[in-house]
Amino acid sequence: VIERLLENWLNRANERSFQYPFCYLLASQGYRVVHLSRHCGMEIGKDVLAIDPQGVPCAYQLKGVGGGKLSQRRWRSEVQAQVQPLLNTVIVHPSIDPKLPHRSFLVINGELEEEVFYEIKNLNDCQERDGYSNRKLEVILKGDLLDGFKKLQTDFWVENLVETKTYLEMLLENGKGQLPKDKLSRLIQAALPFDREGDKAPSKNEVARSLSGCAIICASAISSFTNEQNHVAEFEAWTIYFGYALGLAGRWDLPEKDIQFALDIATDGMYSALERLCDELMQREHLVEGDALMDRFVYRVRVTRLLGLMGIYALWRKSRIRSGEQDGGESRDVFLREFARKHRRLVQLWGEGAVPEFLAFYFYYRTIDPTQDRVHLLGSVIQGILQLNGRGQGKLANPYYEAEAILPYNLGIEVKPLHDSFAGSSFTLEGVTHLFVRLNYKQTMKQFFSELTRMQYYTLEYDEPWHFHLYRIKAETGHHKTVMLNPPHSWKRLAEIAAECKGESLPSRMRDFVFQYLCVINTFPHRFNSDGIRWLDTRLGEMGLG
Amino acid sequence: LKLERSPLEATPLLPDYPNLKARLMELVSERMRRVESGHAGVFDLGEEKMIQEGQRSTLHREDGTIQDVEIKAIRVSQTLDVDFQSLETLKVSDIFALFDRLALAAAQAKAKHAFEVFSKEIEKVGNVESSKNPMHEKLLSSLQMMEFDFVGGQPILPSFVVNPNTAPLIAEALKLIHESPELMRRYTAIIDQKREQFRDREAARKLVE
Repeated sequence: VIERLLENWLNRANERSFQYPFCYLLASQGYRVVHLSRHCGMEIGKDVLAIDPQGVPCAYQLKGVGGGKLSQRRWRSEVQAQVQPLLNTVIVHPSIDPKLPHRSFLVINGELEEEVFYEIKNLNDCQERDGYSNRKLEVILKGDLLDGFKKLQTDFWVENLVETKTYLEMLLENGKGQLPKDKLSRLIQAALPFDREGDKAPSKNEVARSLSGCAIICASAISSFTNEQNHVAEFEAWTIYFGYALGLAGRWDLPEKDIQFALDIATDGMYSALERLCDELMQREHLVEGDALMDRFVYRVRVTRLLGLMGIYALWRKSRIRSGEQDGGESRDVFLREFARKHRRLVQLWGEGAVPEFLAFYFYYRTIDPTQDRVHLLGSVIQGILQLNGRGQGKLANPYYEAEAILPYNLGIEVKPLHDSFAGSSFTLEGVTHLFVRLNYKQTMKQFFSELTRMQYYTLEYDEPWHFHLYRIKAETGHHKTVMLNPPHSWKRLAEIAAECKGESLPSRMRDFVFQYLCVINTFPHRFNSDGIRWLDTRLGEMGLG
Repeated sequence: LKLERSPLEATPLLPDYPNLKARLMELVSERMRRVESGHAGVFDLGEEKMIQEGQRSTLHREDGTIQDVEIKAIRVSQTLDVDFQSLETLKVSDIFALFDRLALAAAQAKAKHAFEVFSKEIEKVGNVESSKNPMHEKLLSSLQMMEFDFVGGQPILPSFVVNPNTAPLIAEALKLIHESPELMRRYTAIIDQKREQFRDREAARKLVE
């Protein structure tokens, strides 16, 4: 059954949805993946670049054929033209020596028509005849992929039959809605060796194999979202995977190099999804989705999400351009600036789950806007939380509630009562307040302060730092802290607290990944805390993005 | 809710209607909450907050004190004898009565637990009035120990949760305080003092240099 499931997924996959599993397959075989294509208009005929265990550069062109056969017509009209540069042009990449000859591969999730098989043979014969015997096209077919994928995840299915139902449920999603983060997290957690007999750490090979197998499970589980080009869901999925990979390293204190390949590919997945989301936004004339009349009720929630994600992308992009990891592009910068400016007034604080979105937007907006707008933006979040959750209120759900879960209550259409009160408490207010204090607007802070002293500030402390990465920490662990501000309330003391920036509550390895941390709290908003956001604000400042 | 094992459980292939039963159970749970709330008395004023993660909880107060908040599962049980051979004769009212009894037991167990926590904390800080003084003196002494807030200059006075036999004594003592000029003067002085303390607390909410 499992083989059939895997085959079924592979048959339905387009080149983008099997690209990441393919990269993890390569990584598990000792290859170093150095480049993945975004699958946009800028493709250069080399979807994946890797260096094999012997140091030979390899270039791969991926083609989705829906489990069928690559026809001669498609070969001639589309693929053949891409194969020429794949074979005959130099690989331009900082990690690859351009003087070294490379191997070229065509990877398809199906078979070749007989005619195509002969055309490829003919092509390779001609290359040999012309003296280019080292420039032959090699082909990786569905059977090869399936064999590789199966080998990587045999243990998972044997040991986690319970999760098969979860996997199937995800596979059957229509892919247009919100990613079921709880289900995906459960799958990923089950696929990675967090619990082991005798508490014995897994070997390097076991780690590599489980991370690769888990990536295949992740990619195939979200394939309906990938096929629908639901970039936000893809972004969230790879962010969750990234977090769990870091969590696994923390659990067993693994050397960084053992998990680096997994982090690199997942990071690419996160960034590429944001980039594709930006591509889509650049092409769209409006931000309405689905039924326009009903969209009125969620429109601003979507805009807030998009502003947050584009905020992360814009900052990350700036950093990558500065470090030479990618080229700039004026039109994209202009779009991102205009997008932020045009929609900034539409942000909606629908719950504390939106606070990381506000802050991601704020972090970007302050880099493009020298006016007081950024101060107002941050101030409005504080004011919003105080008004909605202050004395006798309780209308702003805590960050454990996702938009789709809480909006029916906000809109007054949910008949089931909500047995949870949010009055007088907040998980995120302390962090936002500290960012505001850093802006040094003492008089405005004085206006807020009386109400701030009436609030209870919630935080979660983890028994083990790596628990931070889990969707929900294990039962019987964790410390829920409720803190009230204690007088005397002096500006000086508050400024000192707000200036602290060590981020000690974060797992130490998380602090190596500034943008990924921003992605994590935008995917798991309940992992937001004041300590982390102060650290992030400082790090962005140090990177010249403050 | 623990039902005795039914002999029919040995035949798991009979048609069942789990979704409908789950929906019914939701409705019953809601009813139980309402019944429990009705019996909760003064504790019904409290808010229901869900702790999503964490097995221990602490409260760090404004005065710097830290209190461990015990997270405790309260279990209650009630029994309803059901004859599985003639389930169709089981009265719906009996089913509801069972759940109502459970809700009452839960409300009582929660109240008992809350009183135990209060007693422990109150004894810890010494705010106990156990003298053999007359009731009006005990009341004034208790008020002196308490901290309360004011709205529009008027105190938000505490509620009394007492044994039914003690209730008339409290009512009598309160009447005495209001009718005796001397006791009223002392009561007013306590309220004035508390008002000052409240103002000081409010003033301390300001952000200073």
